[in-house]
Amino acid sequence: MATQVAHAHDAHTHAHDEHGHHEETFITKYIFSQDHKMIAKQFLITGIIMAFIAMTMSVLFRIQLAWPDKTFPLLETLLGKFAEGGQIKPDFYMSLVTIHGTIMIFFVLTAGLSGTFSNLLIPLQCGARDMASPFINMLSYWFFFVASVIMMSSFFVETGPASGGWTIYPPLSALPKAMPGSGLGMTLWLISMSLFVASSLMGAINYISTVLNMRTKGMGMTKLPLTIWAFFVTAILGVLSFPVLFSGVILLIFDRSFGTSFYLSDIYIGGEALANSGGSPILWQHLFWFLGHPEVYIVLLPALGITSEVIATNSRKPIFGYRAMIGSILGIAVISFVVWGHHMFITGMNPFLGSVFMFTTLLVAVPSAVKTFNYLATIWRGNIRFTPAMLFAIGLVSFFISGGLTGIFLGNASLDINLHDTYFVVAHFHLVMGSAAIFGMLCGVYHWFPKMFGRMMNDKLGYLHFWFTFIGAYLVFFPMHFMGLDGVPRRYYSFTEFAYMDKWLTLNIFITIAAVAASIAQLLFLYNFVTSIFWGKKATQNPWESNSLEWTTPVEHLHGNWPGEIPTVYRWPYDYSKPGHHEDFIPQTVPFSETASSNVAHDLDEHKQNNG
Amino acid sequence: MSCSVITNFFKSKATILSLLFVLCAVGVFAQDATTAVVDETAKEPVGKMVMYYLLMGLVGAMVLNVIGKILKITEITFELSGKKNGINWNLINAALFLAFLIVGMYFAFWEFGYHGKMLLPESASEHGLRTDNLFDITLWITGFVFVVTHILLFGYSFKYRHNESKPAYFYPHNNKLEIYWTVIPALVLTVLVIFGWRTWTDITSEGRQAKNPIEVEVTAEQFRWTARYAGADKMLGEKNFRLIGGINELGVNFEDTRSKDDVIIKEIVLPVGKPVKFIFGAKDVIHSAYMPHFRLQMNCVPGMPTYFYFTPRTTTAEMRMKLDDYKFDYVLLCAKICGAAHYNMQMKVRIVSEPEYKKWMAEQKPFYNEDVKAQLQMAKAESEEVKTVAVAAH
Repeated sequence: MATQVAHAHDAHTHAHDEHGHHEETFITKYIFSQDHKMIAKQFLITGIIMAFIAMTMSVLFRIQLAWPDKTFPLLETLLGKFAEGGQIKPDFYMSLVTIHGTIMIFFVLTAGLSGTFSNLLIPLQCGARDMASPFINMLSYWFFFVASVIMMSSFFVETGPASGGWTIYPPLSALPKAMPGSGLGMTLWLISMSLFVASSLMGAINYISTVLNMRTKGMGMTKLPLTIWAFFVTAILGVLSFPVLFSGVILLIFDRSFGTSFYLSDIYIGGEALANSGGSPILWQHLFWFLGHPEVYIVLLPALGITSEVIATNSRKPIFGYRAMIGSILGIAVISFVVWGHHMFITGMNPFLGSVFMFTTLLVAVPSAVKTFNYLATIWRGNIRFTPAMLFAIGLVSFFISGGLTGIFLGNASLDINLHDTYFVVAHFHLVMGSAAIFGMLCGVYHWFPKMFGRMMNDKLGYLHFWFTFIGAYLVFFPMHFMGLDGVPRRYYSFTEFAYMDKWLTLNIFITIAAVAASIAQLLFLYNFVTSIFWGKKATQNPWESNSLEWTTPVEHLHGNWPGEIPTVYRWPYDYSKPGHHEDFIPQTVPFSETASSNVAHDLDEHKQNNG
Repeated sequence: MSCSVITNFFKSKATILSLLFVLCAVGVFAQDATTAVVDETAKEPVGKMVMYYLLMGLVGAMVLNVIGKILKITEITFELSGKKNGINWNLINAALFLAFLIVGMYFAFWEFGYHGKMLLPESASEHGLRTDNLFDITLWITGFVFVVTHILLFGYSFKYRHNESKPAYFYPHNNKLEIYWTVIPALVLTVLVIFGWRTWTDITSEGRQAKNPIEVEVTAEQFRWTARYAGADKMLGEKNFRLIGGINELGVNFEDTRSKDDVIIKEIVLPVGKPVKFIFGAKDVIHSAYMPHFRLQMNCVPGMPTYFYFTPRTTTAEMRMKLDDYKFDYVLLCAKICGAAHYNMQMKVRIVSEPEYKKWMAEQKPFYNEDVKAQLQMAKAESEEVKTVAVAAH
């Protein structure tokens, strides 16, 4: 059935193309573009800009943590009254932490990652001319863009941006009296996130329908590259969980602006008892984490999908356990919906629920372990080419292991009592979610840059960028575990008020220096990225000798992707180094009839199934 | 021929490099000069500092550029001399992974020795011993996995780096292996879950706690803690957030006879070895009561009391001896983001011997005395007056 739909669409876009070509103006091509490849680039560039903004924020608050007593006149020049006297104010510190988290998680690792690569690869790797609805796809980007602008605009509000942490727990976020950031800044945060959810849903619906309905002839679900499987499942997670955040946000807007009491009860603040009663702040946490935990996998799965593809291609080996990989993606996705309570072990939630969530949480480690072992088995006896993308892919596996293992501590309710909200948590999620996902994104950028821009990035700068970032990330986040184990809570403006925290000041300086160095290394990437767009070496059609369908499109982009008919797919995308074949890769479009020397019994079965 | 090209090249580059060093040196001197004038003109150095760092960045970029050029020329000369691959970057990256494995593991272990010694002392509570033990078990298991998987990851990366003559081994799947590495982690995790679950229920389940614990109510607000002890009747009086105001910080209902002997104080004192029940609450936003030395943490939620049962096992004096730090005190701090001064919301916790505790308790005066009574009555009368005035004005 899928093929029928694809064919029907084929004819349609052809017709559309013929009269569409003439009308393309600068605005329809570069701004309000409906071409998935251009939208992917828009997402990527916006994502990179947001990432640099959020990274700069982290440098700012790291400076405060390392030198709490020093003043930096430059900060006052740049930030004005947010850093009066050259020192970041506590309220602004909270804002920085909050917006850093929000931007990194939502704007960079959700929109920047899924938005870029789902848009780019779903039509190209499935064999479709564009997304199911190019118009909604365009809207998705522009909602995201407006959300980004509104989020950033909160820096120009007198009371400063939202500052209750990226999880914006009420009552703190609901009461402007509780902190300045809960004033107009929080309103802007909520508006921005509402638009963001809308954007994300429009994207996700498109991804799902494209994958399900618009695959080319022969492209069964089990012939899809793992990237597509990851994007597909990620989109489903998004569709099921983002609306829950949206409903939570709406209730919070009501509590803040219309006097309702969904999250508020028994509050005495600013010298008066509030009228609100009957609400529960814990309700927000349930709604938030019902998105919040799947969100971790919304961030991580695309990264894992990208690395699966890159590791297989550059090891010149089939990904080990293709079906087990799909199974583990599905397993992770399903379990991710029943683990949210592990963020709430010590909220006073019924201890029995804590036990249940502990069980489900540790369960999620099983498919994650399967993934790791499959990666290891893939590089085992491979013939590895260390392209920059491959380096980042291996870096991701390392972070995924290190950060995943500390998750076993935090998922255990009785250990969480002492680790909750400490630097151990900060270390854990910055490795497993932050670093791993950003490495997946960078890996994807290096790998598909030739597909996006028709040019190659500079390898050597890529190597340098990788090593600085990889070492930098470990130097920053690994030592944080120890601070957490000493009971140092996160989101502390300075460590100067408690005697037992004094001893960590030296380490804080060390971490800040490492963070600054790693941030400077990102300039290498930026330089490489920008200059390569214009002056990079021209790319060949299939620079990595990869099997998947996107490399059969011409280097020069055209609306509709393939000049002629969409190619038919005959085999899975991982026939690398197949014995008997004269090359170490066989693209998906090569029929079995042309590879008699390398066919095995299994292939013949598949062939028969396809024809029968 | 190629040799001379390279030497010539290096000569010219060497001059450039030395020039750069001179530039750097000038930069440093400039910095000295600026630091000297900092006191005289406070505003000016900002621009100079920025210039200085920009210059540093520029120098760095130039050095990098020079290195890049050198690499390019080297590769071209290799190409010219007929060798196929100039620099074997694949080997370099593979070797770097191996080096990273060795150096990284060394530093990881070094850090366990160094920072590992700076961690919290042995748990000062009974349940903390159990969670610490569970932590150690988990650490051994995950540590083992961490080391083995990293050796495999970076070891394979090095060993199976690209080699023309050794094609990759076509090995798409092995169901037996998949089953092994699904079942083994599942079993190990089951063991951890069972340990964790038993520990967790023992710590948190109301039914498993010692009878008649000492009850201490701790209330959080921006940015301080207040404790309330039950007094002689061993019962805490009820409270209502609408009664908060003036001297009555917690909103205790003093018409409830149980509250008449309640003690309200700004530190927590507890006897060693006796079970304690903490009742946590918050007035304004969510806070989290965290006492790292007791491995104890529980959120304080407005409108919803939360509980934590524990038994202290080391007195403050003993802990001071143990740590050889005569200023040491147990602390209660806030671990849930609660506003600007979140980082400084503390209360002293003192663990004493039982006789000391009894003596201390006997010295405590109930909060509700004649003076408080008069003040509360006055406040009440005042508010009623305001009300009647308001009504009259209407």
